[in-house]
Amino acid sequence: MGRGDDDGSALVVYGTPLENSDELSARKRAKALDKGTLRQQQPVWKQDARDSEGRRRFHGAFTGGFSAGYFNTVGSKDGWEPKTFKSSRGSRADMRQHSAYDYMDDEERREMDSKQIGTAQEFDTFGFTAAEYARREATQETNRPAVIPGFVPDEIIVPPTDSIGVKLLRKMGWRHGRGIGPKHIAASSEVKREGRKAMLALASAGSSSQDAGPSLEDSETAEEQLDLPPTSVPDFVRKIKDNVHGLGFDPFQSAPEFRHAKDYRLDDDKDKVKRRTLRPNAVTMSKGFGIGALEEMGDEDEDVYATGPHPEMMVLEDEELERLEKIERKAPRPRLPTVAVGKDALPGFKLASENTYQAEWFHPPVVPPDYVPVHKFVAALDLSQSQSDNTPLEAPQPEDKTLVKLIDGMAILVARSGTQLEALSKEKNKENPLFQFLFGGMGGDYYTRRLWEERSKRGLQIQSNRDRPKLGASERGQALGEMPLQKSALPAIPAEDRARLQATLNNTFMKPSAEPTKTNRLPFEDDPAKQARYEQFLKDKYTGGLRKMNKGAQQLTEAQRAQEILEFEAVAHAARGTVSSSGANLLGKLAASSDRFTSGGVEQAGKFVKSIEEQQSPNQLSVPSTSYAPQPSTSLSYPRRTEEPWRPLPLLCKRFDVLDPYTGQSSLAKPKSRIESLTLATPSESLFSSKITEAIGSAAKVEEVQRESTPPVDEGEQQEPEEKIAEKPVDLYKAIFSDDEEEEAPSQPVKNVDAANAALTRLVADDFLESLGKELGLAVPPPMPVPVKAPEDSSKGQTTQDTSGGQPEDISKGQTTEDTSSGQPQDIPKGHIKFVKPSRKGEEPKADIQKERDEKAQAKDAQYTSEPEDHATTKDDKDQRRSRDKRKDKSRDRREESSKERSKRKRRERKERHKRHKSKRRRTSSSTSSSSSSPSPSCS
Amino acid sequence: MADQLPRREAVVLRGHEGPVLAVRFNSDGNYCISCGRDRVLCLWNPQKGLRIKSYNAHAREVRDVAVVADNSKFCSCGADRQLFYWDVPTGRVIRKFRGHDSEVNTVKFSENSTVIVSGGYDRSVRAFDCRSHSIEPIQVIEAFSDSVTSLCMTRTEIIAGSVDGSIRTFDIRAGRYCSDDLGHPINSVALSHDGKCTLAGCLDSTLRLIDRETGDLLQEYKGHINKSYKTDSCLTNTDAHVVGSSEDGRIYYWDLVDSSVVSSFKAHASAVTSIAYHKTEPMLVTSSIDGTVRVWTP
Repeated sequence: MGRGDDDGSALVVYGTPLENSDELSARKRAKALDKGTLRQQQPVWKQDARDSEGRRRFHGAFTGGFSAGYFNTVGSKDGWEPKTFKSSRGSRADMRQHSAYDYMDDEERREMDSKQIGTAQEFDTFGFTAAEYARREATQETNRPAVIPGFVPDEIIVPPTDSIGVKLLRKMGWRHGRGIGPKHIAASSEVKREGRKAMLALASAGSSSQDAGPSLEDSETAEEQLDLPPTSVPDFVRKIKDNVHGLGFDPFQSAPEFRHAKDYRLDDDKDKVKRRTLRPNAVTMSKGFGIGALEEMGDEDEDVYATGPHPEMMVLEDEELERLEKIERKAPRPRLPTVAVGKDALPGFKLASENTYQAEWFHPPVVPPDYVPVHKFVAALDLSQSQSDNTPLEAPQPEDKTLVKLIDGMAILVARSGTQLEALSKEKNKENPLFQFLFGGMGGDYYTRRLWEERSKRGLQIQSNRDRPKLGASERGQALGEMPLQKSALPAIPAEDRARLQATLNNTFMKPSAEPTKTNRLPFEDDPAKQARYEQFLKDKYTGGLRKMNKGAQQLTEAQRAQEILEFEAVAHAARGTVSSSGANLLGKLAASSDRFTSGGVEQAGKFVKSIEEQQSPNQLSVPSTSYAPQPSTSLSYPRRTEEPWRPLPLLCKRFDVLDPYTGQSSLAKPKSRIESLTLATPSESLFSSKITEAIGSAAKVEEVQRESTPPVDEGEQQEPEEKIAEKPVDLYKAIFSDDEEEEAPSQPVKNVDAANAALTRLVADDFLESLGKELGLAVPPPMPVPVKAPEDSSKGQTTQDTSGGQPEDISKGQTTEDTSSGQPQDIPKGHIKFVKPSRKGEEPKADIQKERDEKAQAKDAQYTSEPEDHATTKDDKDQRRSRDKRKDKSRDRREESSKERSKRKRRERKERHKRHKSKRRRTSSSTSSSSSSPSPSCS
Repeated sequence: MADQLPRREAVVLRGHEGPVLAVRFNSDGNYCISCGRDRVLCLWNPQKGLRIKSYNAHAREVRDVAVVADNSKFCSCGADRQLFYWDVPTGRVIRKFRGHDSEVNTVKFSENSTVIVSGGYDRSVRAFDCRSHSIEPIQVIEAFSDSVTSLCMTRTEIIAGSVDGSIRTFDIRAGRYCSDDLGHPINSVALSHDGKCTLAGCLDSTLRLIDRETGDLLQEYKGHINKSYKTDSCLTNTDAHVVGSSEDGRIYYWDLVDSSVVSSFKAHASAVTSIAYHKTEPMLVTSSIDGTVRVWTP
């Protein structure tokens, strides 16, 4: 309807203008409606497309009639919808990528194609079209005589055709077998020509007659132009791939110097290469079979990709190395690997006449002539020496006893530690007259004899050790520091019997002691009889065996005798101490004089002394076991060692750069933080506190009992009693609050953490709800829709005030919440526990006066429902709860029914409480007074 | 060997007003630091006898001092129950640790200087953290039944001697502690340089050498007087001799092995309170009730 307007201006309007409905008269409007040009939107099903004549568009009887698509629009109500949904679940691989091309008709496609630039088919020498084109051309010559009679499938045999490039080249005067580029005469050697001739002849002989045309022609041209460069004999003819490398593999990629060497070698072996140009397998290649358009006659093996290295390079590397080595060994010509490209050096350089490069040569180490590749043990040598050596004569002991001891000790030491010690002590004690025996002086013979004896003894010992290399289980255990097994039958005997047995055995027998003690002084000088008995006792002690009845002791009673034995033991022990110290001095002197050089290390010296002790039999030096190593069995002696586990705290371990030895173990000693104890009161504590609350009234007493009843902790871990004290009353709080919780969810098992957290949040919520309730109570009429819980909660809050504070007159709401949340136990007055006690039995303490009435009616019910859920979340309590749960299961039906009733009741209660609340507020503005006016009935 | 022992008085360090209670070398032994009843800590150059700096902050007598391995800080403790962590160059207190419940007798650094360990009259050993800013102890060890008089540290152990007569070794790595009851109140604890023995000065005028591994008594050293004062004992740098101080102002050297008195000399006019032996050189520093610190060389 494009038409200019009446005013005749140049303005041209196309399309149908929409008319504004406001400006139209009713008739026009109806008309416009009918025409569909009214701007006011019609519903989509009332709109229909019209053509310029105002007729409804007719799409065709079978393509939608008057309405195609969605009321003459595309797709559906929801818009463009080209395809209906089809699940691709079963055929995921069939998912297709759609392109605009798919939706084009032929015309559009043609148009689209005409805009594209592409290779015309006949020029497309690469890819599929080339083969196709070749085939098409071949089929045009179907009249040609075939070698194989009958139908040959085109797909198998693709005849060779000249590519466009070849055609062009040929038009430019190129001939097959000739190289591209400027001519030169360099390569017209006889051998090459011969080779080429031979190859072409062979190729033409093997080819079929109908295809032989171009190649024969080629050979002719080649013959004609012998002078021309035969460069078109491609590289592969000269350089046959004679290895097993994959195409494109370059073994010299990272070692180019080998490539040069290879080149060089190939230059050497030119002849071989020339021989290769006579390709025998060219015969087997039939033209026209599996050859692409790119390939020409004789190009069968050409590296089409031309990216790979020359096939000649592809030689196994080790082979190359071998070769290199050979060359190196011959080394008639000095070459530098980097320079020696071919025969000449780089331009501007001259090859050196002398090779400066020399491989470094290390001579093997010289094996000493006396080297024996077998280790021989020194002790065995010593032994053989000492036995083969001339045995020193038996020498008499010197008169001086100390000298004898000195010599003995020295001999032992030297036998143990070797002759170096002797040399050292010789040097050290040059002037010392005591040590003259070392220099062959007084007692020299005796010394040599003793030394020999000790050596032989030691050798024997070592030999015997070697004969018996296996340690017993007990010895091994001892070496590993294990506790020796109890071999006696004692453990089987009960403890009291054992003690009795021990006592009787002690009375009857005595253990033999290692050494007899000589006492210089008499401990019982004033009582000669006793002294005699003591000496007898000592004698017996060191012989051991059956305890003889002392002659003199017969007149004594049993008890007196036992007393005396104890006394004797003590005295003997004391005496032994004094003797040992005197003996120790001697030994110490000896050790110090002969072994002073070891005094740098205490441990060494100590061990040294001990080793001597082990060696000596008691009669040799007559030195009793010293105080250096006190027997652990004697419990009287100091020092005593005790070991205990001790727990370093993790931070300490961290600071000492040590792994915490108690990682992952329960923290026994960890002092709990206050928050922790508030939220996660340990079960035993809460149980305990509940017991205490029933037992005692005062908080102080609670602590005392707590301390008494706690199991004995390790000393180091008993750290902060105050902390523990502080924790207790918090649990009391918890006990109180968890009761509240039960009301709300009686059948739900409450977790520890949840309960505590809920308690905390409720405390906060209480405060808020209370204030909210106050506001609402003043503003909104009685049937309050929103805060259903609010009144109950607020009343609860008041109850907590009662129980925790115990001073209802003073306490305001805010204060209460503060107190409870911060958990300050000091604020708890003594009497609070009495308030607590009834609260755990059920709902009664929270009940108000009005509530009480209801409760009486349903007392049973309430008690039943509220009872099972205690505050307790402890392990101990869990068992109890479980048993209770069983009970619950039995009477579940009853409970369900009762819960209905209860909910009804609760609703009623709430209403009532609300009314009461409101009335109270009207009476007094302070809510505290209301709380004070509603004490729990059982409290009083 | 005996003539190599420091017996010649090299320098007298005067400056303390009143008894000097402890003297310690720094880690390289070029300086020493002393503290005393005059509540002052003094940093000395013992070779030249110069007083370099004095540190004032303690409210009561200073009983012990320990220097960090890099010599940049030190820690002191005293009768004011606090531990002071000092900066050496500025002389300022970096931190005051909440110390003990009563007098602090001894203080030592851990080997990596991250932890201060102190022992006090409140029968506890406390470990304080130098890394964090907390002034509270990391751990309080209350395994003692009497005042803790002396401490020494190894890489992973805390060795503490107490008046209850026990040397207690707290092995942090093993998570155990072992207690060696010597039967006499222990006045001082020192380690041998090989770390295998403990030298304990007991109040029965005896020094005892204990094998740390087994707890055996290896040797006893007698001759000096030590019955009531807190005195020190140590081993020489070569571990060949034992050095002990006496209440009559004498210094004793014993042979480590045979426990014979190698040498003794009168060092001070009155009781020797503390001794420190140089780590590498034969040099001894002693402090006394007479208010002087003396440096001894061979």
